[in-house]
Amino acid sequence: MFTPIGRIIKTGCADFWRNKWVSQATVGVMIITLFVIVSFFMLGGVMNNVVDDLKARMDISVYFKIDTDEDNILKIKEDLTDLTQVRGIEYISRSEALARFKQRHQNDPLILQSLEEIGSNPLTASLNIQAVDPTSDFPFINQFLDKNYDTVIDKVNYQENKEIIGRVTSFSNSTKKAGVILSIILVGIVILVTFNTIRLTIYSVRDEIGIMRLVGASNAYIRGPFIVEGVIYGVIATVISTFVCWGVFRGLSPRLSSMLLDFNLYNHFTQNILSIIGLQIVIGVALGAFGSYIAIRRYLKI
Amino acid sequence: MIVFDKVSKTYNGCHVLDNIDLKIAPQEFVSIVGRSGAGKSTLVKMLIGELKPTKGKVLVDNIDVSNIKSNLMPFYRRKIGIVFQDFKLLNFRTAYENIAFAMEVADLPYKKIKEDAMKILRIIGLEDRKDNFPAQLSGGEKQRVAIGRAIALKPEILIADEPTGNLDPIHTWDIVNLLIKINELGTTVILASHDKEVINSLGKRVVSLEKGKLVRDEEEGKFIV
Repeated sequence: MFTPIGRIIKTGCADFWRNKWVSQATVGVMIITLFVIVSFFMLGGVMNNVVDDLKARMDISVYFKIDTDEDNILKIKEDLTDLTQVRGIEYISRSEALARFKQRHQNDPLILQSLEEIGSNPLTASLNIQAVDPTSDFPFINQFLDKNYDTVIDKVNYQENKEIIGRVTSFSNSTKKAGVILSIILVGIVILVTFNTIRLTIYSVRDEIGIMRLVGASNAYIRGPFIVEGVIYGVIATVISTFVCWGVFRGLSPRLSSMLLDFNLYNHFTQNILSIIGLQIVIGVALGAFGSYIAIRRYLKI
Repeated sequence: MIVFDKVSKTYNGCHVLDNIDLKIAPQEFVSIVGRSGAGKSTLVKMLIGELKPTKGKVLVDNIDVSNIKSNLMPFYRRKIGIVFQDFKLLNFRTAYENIAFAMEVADLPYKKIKEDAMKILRIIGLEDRKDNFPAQLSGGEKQRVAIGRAIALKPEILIADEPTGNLDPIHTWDIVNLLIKINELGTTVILASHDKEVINSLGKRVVSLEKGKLVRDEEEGKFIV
């Protein structure tokens, strides 16, 4: 059992080396395939970052009745903080609200003058709430507020924000779907190109496969070295592709950072390096080995 | 014992072999002769299980070759050595590796393979060319390697399909003498050829085919066109 396996591995390595031109071409195509796949992996990271960033900016504001006691509001804040759906809360007191209002309208004398004419602070205290998942959590938080604190709450701007939350959610879902579909199509194309390259590689040695059959080699013994070659293609392509990606993302990262909402491509690459290598090894080796296995089948019928 | 029992082969309505009855005893040297297209190669291909007869049976030691399952075919073929006109060597393997390959597929141990392969290289006179690839060998040398590979597993039957077709007269006689020597050592040799001079000088059994039919079968026969 071990002797043929040893021979198969040795022969596969020797064939890879002796058939250099074909091996180089196949590895080259496979590098492109893996690079495209890694690029889509990175694109997925970028898209998630954009969507997360948009989601992080979404919040709802709870405005309290003007006579609501600050302690009461802080108690409500604590209650809300205990909810698992709540990611963050900011308390804006009446005076803080006034300061922010003045700051915002500092170039609008008419508004500032009107404020002075009123004499007192007309703004209410509020809580700005951010949810873990804006789509599903905001309705819950809104209900929670409605049910428990209806008497002190003046207004929750959930209804006004609902539409924009819906839009962002729908954008995020569509983006994910489009990303997945586009990835499947493009990755499918590059995989097909690699598979066809492997088929051509096997086609170039079809006569030899026939000879092996006629000399009495079993199908498994003939297939073995080709599968080993396929595995070698996958491993070498993974190593080269990883270095290429490393260089490309390192070079591009500073230039693209501002376009990608401060998303650091290079950091994302290095943080996920093990997954990326794993992904490439699995796809590269599976493509090489399975591609060879399938491609050789038709020549084993002699 | 090899038996062709009323074997016919038809391709698209064209009879390549027509009702062939032929028996070949162990350790015989039989030449199968005929012009190109007479059906010699088809007969050989049926014997090695590359083609199936349209009618009739090809039996080798009472085993119907066309009934051998694909996964068992390699074991059957290891009992038969085959030499082709176009050598059919593995181009990315050296002379030594081509001979060793036949033994590797039979899962012989490394040591035995090395000893036997070197012995065969000595018999075929290519000990000093063992590390050369087929592209670095002459036609005669390639054919000697092919014969070396064919006898590597000490087969009971050696089939040579036009083994001298691509060789000059000197190399032709090298190969013929090698086949005679292998036969003398106890292997059945079936030589398919249209080389009149070679056949006539052998003084062995000659089976003549013409347009797919067996027209003559003579001990110490001649190639009569």
